[in-house]
Order: sequence, then C-alpha cells, then structure tokens
Amino acid sequence: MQTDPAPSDTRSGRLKRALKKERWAYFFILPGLLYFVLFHYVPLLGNVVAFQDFSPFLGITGSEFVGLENFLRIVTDPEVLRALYNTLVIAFLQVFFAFPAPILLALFLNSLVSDRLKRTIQTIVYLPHFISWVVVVSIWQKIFDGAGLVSELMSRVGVEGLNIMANPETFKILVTSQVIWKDVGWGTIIFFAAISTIPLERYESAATDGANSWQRIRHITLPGMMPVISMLLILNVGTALTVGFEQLLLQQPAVGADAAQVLDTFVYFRGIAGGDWGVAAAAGLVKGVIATILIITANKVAKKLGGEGVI
Amino acid sequence: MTRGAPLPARDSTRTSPAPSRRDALRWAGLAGLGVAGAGTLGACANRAEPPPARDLITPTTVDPPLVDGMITSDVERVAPIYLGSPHPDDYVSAVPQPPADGGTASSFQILWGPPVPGRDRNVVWQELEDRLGVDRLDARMAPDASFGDRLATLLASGELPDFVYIQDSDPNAVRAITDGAFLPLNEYLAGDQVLEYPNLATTEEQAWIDSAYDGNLIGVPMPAPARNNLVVLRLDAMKEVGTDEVPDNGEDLKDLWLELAKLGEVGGRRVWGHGALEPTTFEPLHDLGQEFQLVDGRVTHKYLLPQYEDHLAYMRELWAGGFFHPDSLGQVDPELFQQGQQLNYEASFAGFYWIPDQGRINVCRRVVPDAEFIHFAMPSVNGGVGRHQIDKGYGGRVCIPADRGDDPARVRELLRICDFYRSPFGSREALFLEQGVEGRQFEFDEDGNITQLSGATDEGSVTWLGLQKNQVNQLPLINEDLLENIMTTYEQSTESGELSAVDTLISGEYARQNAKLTEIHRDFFNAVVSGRRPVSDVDTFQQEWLDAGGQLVLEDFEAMLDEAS
Repeated sequence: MQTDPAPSDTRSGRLKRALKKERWAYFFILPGLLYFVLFHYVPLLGNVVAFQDFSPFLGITGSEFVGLENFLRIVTDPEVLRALYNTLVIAFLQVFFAFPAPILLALFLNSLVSDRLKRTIQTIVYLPHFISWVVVVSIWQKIFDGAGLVSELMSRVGVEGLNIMANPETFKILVTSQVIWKDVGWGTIIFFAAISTIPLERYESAATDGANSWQRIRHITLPGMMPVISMLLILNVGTALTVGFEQLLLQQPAVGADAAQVLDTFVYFRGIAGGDWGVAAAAGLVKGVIATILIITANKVAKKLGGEGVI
Repeated sequence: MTRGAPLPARDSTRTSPAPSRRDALRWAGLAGLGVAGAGTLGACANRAEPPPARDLITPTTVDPPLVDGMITSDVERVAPIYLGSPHPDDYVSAVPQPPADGGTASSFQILWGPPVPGRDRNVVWQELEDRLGVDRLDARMAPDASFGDRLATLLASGELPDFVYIQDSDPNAVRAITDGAFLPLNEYLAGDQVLEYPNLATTEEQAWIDSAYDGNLIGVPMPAPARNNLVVLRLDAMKEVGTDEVPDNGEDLKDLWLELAKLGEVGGRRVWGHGALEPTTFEPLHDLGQEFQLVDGRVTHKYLLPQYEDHLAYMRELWAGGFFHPDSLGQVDPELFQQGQQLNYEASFAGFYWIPDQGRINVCRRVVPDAEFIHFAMPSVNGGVGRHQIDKGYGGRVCIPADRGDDPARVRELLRICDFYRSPFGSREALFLEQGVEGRQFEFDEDGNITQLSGATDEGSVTWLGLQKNQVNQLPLINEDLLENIMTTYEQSTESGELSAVDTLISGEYARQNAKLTEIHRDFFNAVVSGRRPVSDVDTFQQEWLDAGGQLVLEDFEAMLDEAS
C-alpha cells in the first residue's frame, strides 16, 4: 500500500525547514541579493536600446526599433575595430604585467625579516591606490610630460623634446606602468592573506631538509597561493576589456584616439557625448558577451589545470 | 578644389515595394530580442509630436534703453562697451512688479562654478524668489562638465521643469527639440505679441532667426554678439624683440611668434608662446571662416577647403619652432597666462576683464607688474584681417516643456519670468542677476564703482538661468587704456566674416555626428602639428571625415536648404 509522504518530507517541506533553519543567513544575504537584482539585473533590460534608434526623451517604448542595424554599424565602423584592438593590447599587457606585479611584491615583502621595514614599504606602496586617476595622471604629467621634471633633466644632458606622456608608440606601456604604480601595493593585501594561510611548519620542515629560500618560494609559497591566484586571474580575465576609462579619457588628447581609444571611451564618446545611444549600447552589449565568454573559458582552463575555478 | 556633397533630394514620400535590408534587420532584431524586458519597460516613454514646419514670423525687436556713457559701434552685432559701472543712482527698474503670483517655478540650469549653497542658506536664492514673486524656485543645477549627461537623464525621466536650459551643440538637446519635447512659442511671441514682455522684446532678431527650428520659436534664446573671444599678445615681450605693433600679415606674424618663442624668459618668468592649442584660434590666418559654408552654391566644411593644407603646414612650423607649450596638445596648465607664462592667449571678454578687476589680464598684471597687452584681429597670410568665424545670434536657449502648453495662462506667467531674467543693462534687476545682493556679494565704493565682497560669492550662480540680457562688455576702469584697442579688434574680426544660410539651420545629423567628427579632426590635427603624420595626409583625413559621417551632415544641410528654397 502506497501512502502519501508526510508534509514534512515533501520538497517544499524540506525547503521550508531549510529556510527556517538558516533564516538568519538568508536574511543577511537579502540586501546583497536586492542590490544585485536592482542595480545589475534590472538595468540589463536597458540593453533593448542596442536595438533602437534611441531618444532619451521618447524613451524605450517611444523610440524606433532598428533591429540589428546598430550591430551592423559596429562591425563596419573602423573606430570600433581600433578601440577593440587597443582594448585587447592593453588588457594583454595588464594581465601579463600588472597582474603578477603584486604577487612578486608580496613574495618580496614576505621575504623581508624586519617587520618595521616591511610595514614602511607596505604603507608607501599602498598610498597611490587611494589617489584618484585625475591626480595620478597630473602627478605623472608633472614628472614625465614635455615640461616635466624628466624632460628638464634630459634637456640638460642634450636630449631635447622628450615627452613621454605624449608618445603614442609607448602609450600602452605607460598606461600599464601607471596601473602597476597605482595598484601594486593594494593588490598585495590579498596575496599576503593567502601567504598567511600557509602553515609555518612547512617552511620549518623545508629548511630542515636544506631547502634554500628560492626553493621554499617555489615549492611552498607559490603552490599555497595558487587557489587565490587562479581565482583572481579568472576574475581579471572577466574584466579584461575594462581597461581604465578615466585613465585613458584623461590622456587621450595628448596621444590621440589611434593609441588611446578603447571600448569604454568609445561608448562614452559615441553614446553620451555623441547621443548615439543605440550604437554605444550595442558596443557595450558586445563587450559584455565577450567578457562572459572570456570568464567561462578562463574558469574551464583553471579547472583543467587542477584549480577550483569560481563557477 | 572644394569638396562638397552631392545634392540628394529629400524624398519623404518614397516607398519601398520589397522589404529593405533595414526592414530585415529590424525584424531579425525584434525576433532576437523576444519578449525579454519589453513589457517591463513600458513606463519609460514620453509622448510628443514633432513641431510642424511653419513660416517664421520673428518677434518684434525693440532697442534696449541706452545707458549714458555706453560706447556703441557702427558695426552690427558688436557688443557695446561700458567703462566701469553705472552710478548707483542711475540704475532703473525694468520690471515694476514681480512676474509671478505665488506658486512654484522650476528650472534645470547649468552651473559654471563651484556648488551653490542650498535654498535655505542662500540669500540670493531667497531674494530671487521674492523678486520673481514665487513661493518656491526649484532650481536644479548641473555642473558644465556633466551637463549633457544630466540633461539626457532628465529628458529620459519625462519630468521636465518649467525652464530647461539647452545648448544646440548637445545632440540630446537637439534630438529633444526635433522630438517635440519643447513648446513652440510662436503664438505667444511672434510679431508684436512679444511686446507684452518688454525685456524679451529687446532680443536681437538674429537670435530668434538662428534659434528657430522649422519656423518654430523653440525657447527663448540667449543673444550673443558676433564675436565674444579676443586674442591678446604680451606687448612687453614684443618690445623685447624690437616691435610694438602686431603685423598685418600672417607670415610676418609667424616670424614674430617664433621670435617670441626664443625668449624663454620674460618679466623674470619662464614663458611659452602659446598654451592649450585650440585649433579655431589660428584658423583666420588661412581664412577658414564658418564651420559650414556655401561655396559655389554647395555646402562644404572649413576642413575641406583647399587652403586647409597650407594651414596645417603653418601650424606645424609654429610647433617645430617651439611656439607652443610642449603639452599644449594635451593637458596644459590653464592658468599659464595669468601666471605670466604665456605670451599669446585667447579668451572671452569676461575671461579677460571680469568686473571689477578679477579678469585674467588684471591677474596677470598683479603677477608681472610690467606686463603690457595688445589685442589684435588675426591677420590673413594673404594680408589684411583673416576671415573669422562669426558666432550665431544666440549662445543657448531656455525652453518650456511642450506639456505646459495646455495652460496658456501658465505659459504667459513663465514668459513674464523669462522677461525678468532678460532685464537690460543699467537696470536694478540686471545688477542683481549679475552681482547678487548689495552688501552681501558687492557694494559700491565712494566713487560709485562696484566692489565685490568675499564670503558668499558662490550664492550668486543660482541666477544664471541662461537668459542673460543683450551683451554689454563692462571694462574695468583700470583697463581704460585698452578700450579703443578692444573695440577696434571686435569690429575688425566681426567685419571679416559673415553668417550664411547654413548657420540658421539646426541639423539633427550634425548634432549626432559632431562629437565623432570633432574627435577625428582633433586627432589628425594634433598628429600633423606635432609631426606624427605628414601634412600630405590631409586627403586621407578629409575622406575619413566624410566617411565617418561628414558626408551625411553635408547632405542633411543641403536637403534642408533645398526644402527652404
């Protein structure tokens, strides 16, 4: 004879019990969930604009639908291709140079014996993170532009007209250097936290076995940091196409759009400054799709290499 | 050779028998989009009809009252100059009673300076409400740097205040005009009807003509003279290289500039010839004139003119000769001139001569006491005064939303408020709008001259709605020695150019493409001037400019001219 399960054994019953049991955890999740829904998921509906000849006054339902025309304009617009190229090059430089920089600095600081020296260096390298890009660019200009300190010094040894800030050929290196200078210290915080989770006994055992400091880094510290490194790398790859809007906008006049136009500045100039919201939204949508593909790919690669991934 | 657009006929009746590629794309997009979001976004729309085209009847123009001591010019659209300020006893009332009868008024306006203290702590704001006769003035002020973004957001909200300040260089503003967001004021202001608002009636006719859209008077324009900017040279530096006269030929002027560039130091300070490089400053040297112009009956752009290549070569020579600050193509200290470190400089009249003595000329004089100045109209390389770009008759406009038209009495009240803001020079109302409250923002000294007071200067910005009077250039008394030089410079530069039929048109295509085209030009200009690209690339640039939307703009102007004719 078949009997109906007791109410408490059904799926809904189990859910109710779980909700009741973990009610405080769910309660604390609620604000974050609301934030993401309201400010990240609901605005996604605005991507409708990518399929419209959008007018702010007429709004989404009042503006004319143009189908895929905005996307067609994107793929035939040389400016978009140039922006995409610049974005990818800068993203590549940042992933390969700016991303490892805090790891190296964390390893270096970790190897210092003096706590006082370590803290002093940490304080100094953290500071630029708290400076806005406007101020960072101004500082760099005072030092590296055509009338800056370096130019003045170089002119005294016969090198005239040096203007590092206005050289389009080296601009992407400059941008990456600025990112490293500004954020390398801040980035070390997480890596330090990862290092602190490695049991000290491992280092003591390795030292007893005669491992030198390089061997300890290679065989203990780096493997211990690897889960954090792979997670941050995946997240970095996901945001790789966001390469510093303010930083590039501020410096674009000096080097020109050929060197400094990226997808974000393109969206700004075309959408907000130019009022061509449809094309700008289409470019933003394409960027979002590419970023999603990148993050999924990176996650799979990380899993295949033995990491945990983030999804 | 002048490159221009072909003359396509604008045929709005054409129908396509078979689905076009655009149709196919539209349906594909709709299908791809599915139902996602469509239902949830229904609230985000305003309903309005574009204003129908009509014949323009401009409002009658009445001469503003002439204040004793005002120096006027025989040249049309040159702003009069007034030395110092009228005596306190000479100010008259231009608006005998408050224009509104209680209630509220609201505005969206631009903020040129630091944030304004809130209404409760702002004496000027409260005084403005009293003078307007409103219980409350809800003034929303957006900084000039983010004004376009904020305007787009405001338009999208659909809740427009009574007065919306817009500039026609903003593509979202132009789109709002063509979409019918604002009320045509023809039935309130056309012809003699404007006489109901005596101060608005002093608006120069050119302002109404240039700001009209398809014959519709959209908003109240802020009148502007033909030229507001002036170029100045440091005369003391010129004397150091052996001259006290600005050459009347562009080639000779180049030689002078290059000589000045070699000085390195003047008045004990490191100097450069010119700071931030704004291309338009130097364009009269090669008679480039208006941005869009008619050549042989066709619309073309100044950068498509044959002499543009020569202009680029000229500018490059200046760059190579060290005339420009090394960072002039990017971010250069905007205060270089005030600090006495820039010998050639362009600014507006107010920028140079803000009353009583806060303008850049006088700031520079305080830094470099021996500094001397001379203004000049940019000469042409062919001799004589170069062809200058002439400004349209207005510098912005204040619009009333279309839905206010349901209540004509309210529209008239709002226009009476506009009339208050347009109070002429020499009136107590204009004094208040420009200087603030006597005893708080300014006072009169024993000679009757205005002296600004520190402490509450930021309160005054609330009065800048964008409806200023016809411009009168008030020259500080200490700059009297430059009076004739300034007037002559304005007259010469104004007479050198002229507005064309294209200048009276408002093109949505232009507004849409303008930012991109400006960027393409700026990029090319900077690259050529600094030597990164050869001057001979000008053909490539011109084609790129046309392909990037320039051709569409030229065609749009030509189609509008065809329709108008």
